[in-house]
Amino acid sequence: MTTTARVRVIEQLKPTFSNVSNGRAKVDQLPEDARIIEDIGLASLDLLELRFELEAVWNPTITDEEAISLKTVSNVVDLIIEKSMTERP
Amino acid sequence: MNANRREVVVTGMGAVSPFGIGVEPLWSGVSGGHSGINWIEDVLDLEPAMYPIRYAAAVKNFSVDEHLKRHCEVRNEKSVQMGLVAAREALVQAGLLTPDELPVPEANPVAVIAGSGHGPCHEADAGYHEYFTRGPRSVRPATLAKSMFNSLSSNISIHFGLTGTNLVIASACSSGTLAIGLAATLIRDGFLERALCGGADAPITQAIFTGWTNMRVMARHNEPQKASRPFDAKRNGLVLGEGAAMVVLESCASAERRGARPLARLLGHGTSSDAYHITAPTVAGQVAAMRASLVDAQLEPQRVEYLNLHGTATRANDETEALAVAEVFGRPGDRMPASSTKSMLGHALGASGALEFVICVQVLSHGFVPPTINCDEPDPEVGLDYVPHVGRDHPVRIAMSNSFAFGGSNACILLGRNQ
Repeated sequence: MTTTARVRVIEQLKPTFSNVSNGRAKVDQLPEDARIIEDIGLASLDLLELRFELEAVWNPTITDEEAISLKTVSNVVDLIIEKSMTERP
Repeated sequence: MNANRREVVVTGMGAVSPFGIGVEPLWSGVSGGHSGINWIEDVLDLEPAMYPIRYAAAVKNFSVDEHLKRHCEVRNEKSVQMGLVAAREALVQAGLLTPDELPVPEANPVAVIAGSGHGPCHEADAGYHEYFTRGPRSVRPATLAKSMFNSLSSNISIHFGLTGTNLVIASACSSGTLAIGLAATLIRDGFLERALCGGADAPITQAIFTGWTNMRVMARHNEPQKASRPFDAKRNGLVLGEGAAMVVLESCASAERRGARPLARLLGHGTSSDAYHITAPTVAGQVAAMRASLVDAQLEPQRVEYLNLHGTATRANDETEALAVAEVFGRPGDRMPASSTKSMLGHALGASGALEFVICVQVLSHGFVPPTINCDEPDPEVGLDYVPHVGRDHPVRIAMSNSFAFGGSNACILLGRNQ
């Protein structure tokens, strides 16, 4: 996956993070090394909600365990890219 | 009765109603005899063949972000959002909030005691819809936290940093009055110093509106503004409404200490249960609640100079309530005008008692009683002065407000003009 594609995913993640946190998340900048909870401001319950938003936008199947294990923006981008590669028909 | 009871005063009020945001639009609407009822086909998908009633007293074009300074995390639950906006207005008027919407240093602990009939039903609706259309894996994990009944009081407590008692009263149409009455009693007897209390309800969802439609208690009329006709011979049901009202109550000593201006005094609160039927009211139950409030306030009935009736415009409620009022007050005539503001506001369920409490405070302050609109042919038997069509000047020192709920939960409250 190209850098351009990763940047595009990150742009799409901004409204996703905002939705799951009811607007609480700080999404103006999303550097790949930003921590989802500590830096972006998501709560643990938001991570479970994140699964639903990711599935709605990118249509992969994500388990609760995969959602809970996400720590950084980079982790989320990797998961989306991995799922979109493996689940592509 | 507690011999050391303290005087309780109102020091702040807020409202969200079909007339707009704030106590002033609410008072302007009801004192002017305007109807807040209109078509709601722009709000709900109501296929004409399936829905004979397509109007309500809706709060339209409401955006919570326009009325709160700090970010509100409640995104989809209108009753909680309206409760927050009404709470803000009341807390600001009472001088309990900083410009940043945080409590002033001397404010806490402020209790939050809020009433709601249907609670956070928009989130519950969405959760059930997902489950039944897409299966168990589709129900969002936050659905539970967003749809629990105490979402109302808890989100108000969280948003404004209020650290006192935090609870919700769920008693259908008397929830708002019960919340205010309970808060007043707890302050009067020394358990609380000050409380934000009231009610909020937003029952205009697809499923709930359908349920009310199928129950066949909603009014049918060609003109929405003429549909709610309390105590009129041609009444044929209630009009569903929505809204929120919150008030700050505190001990008189607390208000004096803070320099807060009392708007009215809480004189008494009475409750009862019909112990009879889940929807049908009883005269005995309503009489008991009115008398209990008079006993609580140590007042004779003839001292009451305005009665805000429950007045839903169903055949059963109005007939029962008129008989109950006659039993308690005799034939008071124009000494005690008695109007139903639901003729204009529809029935906002758990919010209705709180909205009507705010209206009663305005009645005391302005010496003006709002009308019962659409009351063309009032029931002649009881001899009540329903203030038909047009409000009028009428100095009021003591007012009563009635709320009688499905489930048989009756609540009345007595207010006095500020001395």
